[in-house]
Amino acid sequence: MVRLYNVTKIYPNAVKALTDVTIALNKGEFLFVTGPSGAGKTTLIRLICREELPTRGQVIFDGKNISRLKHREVALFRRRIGMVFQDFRLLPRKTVFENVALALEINGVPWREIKRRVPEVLDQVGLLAKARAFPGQLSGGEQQRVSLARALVNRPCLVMADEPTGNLDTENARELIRLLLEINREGTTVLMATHALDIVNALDKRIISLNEGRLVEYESRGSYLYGT
Amino acid sequence: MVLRTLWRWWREAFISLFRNGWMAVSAAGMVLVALLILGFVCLLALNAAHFSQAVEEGIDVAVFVREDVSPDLVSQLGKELGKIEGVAGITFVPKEKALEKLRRDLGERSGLLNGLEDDNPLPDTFRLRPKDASLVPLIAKQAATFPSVEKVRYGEGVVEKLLQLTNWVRIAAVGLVVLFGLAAVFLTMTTIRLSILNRQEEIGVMKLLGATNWFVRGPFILEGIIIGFIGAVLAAGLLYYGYTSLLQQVNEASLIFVQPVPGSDVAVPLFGSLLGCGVLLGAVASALSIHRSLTV
Repeated sequence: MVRLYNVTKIYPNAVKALTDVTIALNKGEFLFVTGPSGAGKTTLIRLICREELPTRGQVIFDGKNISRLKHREVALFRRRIGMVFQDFRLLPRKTVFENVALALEINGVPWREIKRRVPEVLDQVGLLAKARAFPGQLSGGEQQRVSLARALVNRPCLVMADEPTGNLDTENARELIRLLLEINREGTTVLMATHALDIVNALDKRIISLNEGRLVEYESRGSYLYGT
Repeated sequence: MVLRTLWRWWREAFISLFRNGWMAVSAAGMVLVALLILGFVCLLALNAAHFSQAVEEGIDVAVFVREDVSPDLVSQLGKELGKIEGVAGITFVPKEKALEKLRRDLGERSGLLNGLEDDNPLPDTFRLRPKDASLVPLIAKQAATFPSVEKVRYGEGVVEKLLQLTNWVRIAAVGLVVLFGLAAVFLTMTTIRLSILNRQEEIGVMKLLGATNWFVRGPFILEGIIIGFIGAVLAAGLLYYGYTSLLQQVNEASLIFVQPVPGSDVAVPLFGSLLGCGVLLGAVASALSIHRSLTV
């Protein structure tokens, strides 16, 4: 589904975030990207959702080089991906319902359909009762679940989560992982960047490890030991 | 599809204005202040131009006819004078009327003129109204060449200075309007840019969710238009009220000899131009400010 070929990313301030990284993410897979802070995990995700372009190398999504996408195609491409961020990135002046509905509106879904689908997905993440609340009125765990609901509502083929448990306590983190595993079981490909050893080691999923922008481990499963 | 998009823009714009309450109020307030100042300067300029025009319209050329010219020749002279290039109109003031007018002007002291009815020393006069005040010296020069003409007067020296003054007044008025117009543009732009910068992250999130530029831009531009419109309506309303109240005071006190531009003549251009400015400024400022945030 996603292939990175010899990708190097150097930011305008000369920081080399990734060096010659080649990885593959297969359809239906649950992949962990691990490594310490500054290893290049976030850059990797930003390259896949085309928030950034590689300095060298290619990012291929479903056989297409996404660097070559035109403006409008980028928008359409991003609608196929669900994004979950460490800092949630919810719109503070929109209610929970509106935050989730936004993803559908962007996709051109009619309002009648939006009114049907948003409660469904809010129910799935256990937040139907908070549909009218604003993000500021929710706990961190709840906000992250709204963020997940927003990522899922368009039924994307790929969900990418960048340190989604970074701001959550153990219980909320466990709940979020449970939800991610659930959507993965239903067929959605999941890529999760994290440096939480306990989560990675508790699950028998494929792991790739980055350190200082280089791939240091490929194809290990449930045995991330970096930094221990 | 188009209707759905427009409906969404309106809904989003209103919801956002409502939820960003203070930001919207302060932005509309800034537009109000900017347009209030601009409108005030425009009214000032309009009156300055009106004043200059009134002064220039008052300028004419007085052609005094020689005492010994026969009535036939006088009417012949009138026709000839009317043909001079640049003459818009001609009025004949017979010596009797001139004496009557002088009597009126002297008021209480009109007794000085008693006994002059039979031996009127005042000459018959033609008053030539120029098409353009700047043509006055040329008209005077040509009129003086007729043999039946005794003397030509137009306030030599004074007219030239007056024309210079009215020209300066016009230039200064246009300059002030341009200057304050630019100030209003910058003030509005900065205010709206600040309110958009405040929501840059919001725009970034929408783009990452796959929003097209117009999906993001539409409601923002509409928001700018609504803010501009509200600010402009308030500014025009306040100015109109202030101006008409001032006119009333001026008219009651009859302080000045030239009447200001009446309120009814000011209403349409004032509301039209300020609303146009407000809406256009709001839209352009939003569009330009958001342009930078859309590159995610």
